[in-house]
Amino acid sequence: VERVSIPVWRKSAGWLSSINPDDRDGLGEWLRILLGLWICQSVAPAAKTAQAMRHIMVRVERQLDLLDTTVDRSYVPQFDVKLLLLGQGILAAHNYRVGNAALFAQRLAHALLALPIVPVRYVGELLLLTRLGYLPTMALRASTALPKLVTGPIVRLLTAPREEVRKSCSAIAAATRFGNAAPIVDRRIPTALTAIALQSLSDYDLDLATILLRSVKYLGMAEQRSVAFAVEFLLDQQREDGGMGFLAIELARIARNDEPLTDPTAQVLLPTTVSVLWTLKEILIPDSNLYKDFTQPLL
Amino acid sequence: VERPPHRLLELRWLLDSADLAHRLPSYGVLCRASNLGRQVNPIYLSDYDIYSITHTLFYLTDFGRLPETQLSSVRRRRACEIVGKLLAMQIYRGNWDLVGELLLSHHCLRATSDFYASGWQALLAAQWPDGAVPGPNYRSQATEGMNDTDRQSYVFKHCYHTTLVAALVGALCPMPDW
Repeated sequence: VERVSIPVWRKSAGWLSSINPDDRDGLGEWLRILLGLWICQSVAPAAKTAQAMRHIMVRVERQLDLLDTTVDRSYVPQFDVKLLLLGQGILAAHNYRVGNAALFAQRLAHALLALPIVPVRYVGELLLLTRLGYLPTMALRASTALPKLVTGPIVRLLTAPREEVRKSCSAIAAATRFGNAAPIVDRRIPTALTAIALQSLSDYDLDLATILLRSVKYLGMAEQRSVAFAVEFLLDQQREDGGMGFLAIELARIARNDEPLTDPTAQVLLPTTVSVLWTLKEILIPDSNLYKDFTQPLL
Repeated sequence: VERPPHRLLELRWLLDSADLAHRLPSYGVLCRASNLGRQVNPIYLSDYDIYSITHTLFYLTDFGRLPETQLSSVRRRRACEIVGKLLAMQIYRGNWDLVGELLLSHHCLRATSDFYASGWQALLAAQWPDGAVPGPNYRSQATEGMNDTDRQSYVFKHCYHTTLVAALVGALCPMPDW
């Protein structure tokens, strides 16, 4: 698999810097934009992307200062905690203030330390908190067992419903410490996961496909030709404006599921774009690992 | 009438089977013009494209009775790879018609893959107690409220092809070591 050409990343960075979420409820979106820009800058450094990153970091810095007053006596954010911790790491690496996010991280670290075994669903948070220095490395007490769906007969994995496959991917991420520990697995498991990713792409389920492709990377094995097919397809989903994924198809799916849709860009295109960029980076850049690299300064 | 290569192969196979004279191109020429063994991205293949691959193999090998001899080594390797990948993809998709056809394709290529046994297992699990195998367009909800005659007619219309394919798999494809 060859490295994707630089214009792809710069085009996506341009699109990400053009989004302007509402400050009132936009912290999650600002953090996602920051993560997307960080990914683009880490692969294809550019002065414009750096400038956009600085601009976004100032906005996130201000939003984090407001965290305790906007969330009504609670430090539990209204969005993905892992995203908050990733954003915190990127900010800290560039000497920006993390405000009340630090207090939230400390409380979360204490809560996780109090658990005898950390549940699989919190392993991501545990890794990020450790990387941020809130927890000692030894605090990583969580199972490294792979989910039953991928250790049983291959046919069970191939005939599993979508949500079961998705849950198994989360469990693979936890068991492999998001790619920082590769267990010994049957070669056919990543091959089957890649095949499911190819079919998910054929069904235009970019969300599941990108999660599957990262799981394959975390397992440390991939059948290169199939992964190359997936990369080729993902690159074809870059729009003229730099976003990844053709919105109409995703919007139709949301409409079918009767989900509320107030901001199509924030709800659909932004998460899809960042997930695609993250996956492309992990696959194409040797030794790349977001959960390990997010504290590296880029500017 | 303009026909794609796999349809010309079908016509040639039918004419040859009946010992009828014709001026159609050779199997080798038609095979080289087909999709079989070309470098194709499986994500972009439509059902029609996949059927063109499986049917090319059926006619080239007389449904596996003869060994495949028309493909170059490169195209043969690619054919084996794509058939294996597509089998796994179609198992996940639950398209038992294509799962059956791709198992038959393994047989025609005298090849196996990581997913051959899974294909068999999935097809066996999909078969109903009465022996029928649901086709890709069969919807159980569609039979609600139908009388017995209409229901049987609906089931036959939507399941006969997949059931025949599954029967061919049972007759021709070697059982895997479970």
